[in-house]
Amino acid sequence: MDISGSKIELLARLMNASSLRGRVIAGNIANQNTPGFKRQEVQFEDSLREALASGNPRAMARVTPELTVDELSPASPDGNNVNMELEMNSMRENRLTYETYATIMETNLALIDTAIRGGRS
Amino acid sequence: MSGLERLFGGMRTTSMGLSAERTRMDVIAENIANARTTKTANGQPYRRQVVRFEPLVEKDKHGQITSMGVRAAEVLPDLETPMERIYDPANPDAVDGFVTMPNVSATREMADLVTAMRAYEANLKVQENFSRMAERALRMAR
Repeated sequence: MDISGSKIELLARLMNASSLRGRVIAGNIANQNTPGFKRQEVQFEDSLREALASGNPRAMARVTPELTVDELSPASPDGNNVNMELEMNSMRENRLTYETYATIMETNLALIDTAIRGGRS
Repeated sequence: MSGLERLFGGMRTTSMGLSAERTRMDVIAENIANARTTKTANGQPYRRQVVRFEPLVEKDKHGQITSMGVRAAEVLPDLETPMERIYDPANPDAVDGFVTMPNVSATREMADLVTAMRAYEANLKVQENFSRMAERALRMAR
């Protein structure tokens, strides 16, 4: 049982990235009717996965959520490339991911709590 | 910036989306209301108004640009759509039997209104989503 908090810190970072993504999606949806607007994305999990695979703890700590502008998705004639169906889907997906992280974190905290109490409630 | 602050930031972004869309709906309502106004204060027939939207951007300390929301930057007269001249000698504003009508098309305004309403609803959904995420995060502290 690891109570050093590294797992919890990782989960907190994942939740942070998820809330940033939520914010970016909100920006995309708010700008669905702004001519010339290009949708934005948050890259985090992929870079984190690579860092995890490398096994280097310092590389893992360096990974931060990165914002990119999506210039590739097809744009409508006014130059806006926000696809509402996709954004709404990403939003739901993002919320569920966030709630999953929160649940895992909660379980972990409960386990530490049990360990501290020595199994007595 | 903390996670919860980001969630609240997202909520602010959607509220900006809501108010921008509402401005658009107000302008559409004004256009429809004036669809038959042949003489305004300046003596000209009513000219249709359009809203220009503008994304609000924020630069963080790494120079990375995030969109912060949207705002209805300005309301401009539609100078592109031509005004129609119709024959209506009974109209008090008629000149030689012809009246220049406003360049408002009810069909077009209604289509725009539906788009604005859908966008408004979408923004509301996003806001609900954020409050659920924040509630979930708070529940961990119980």
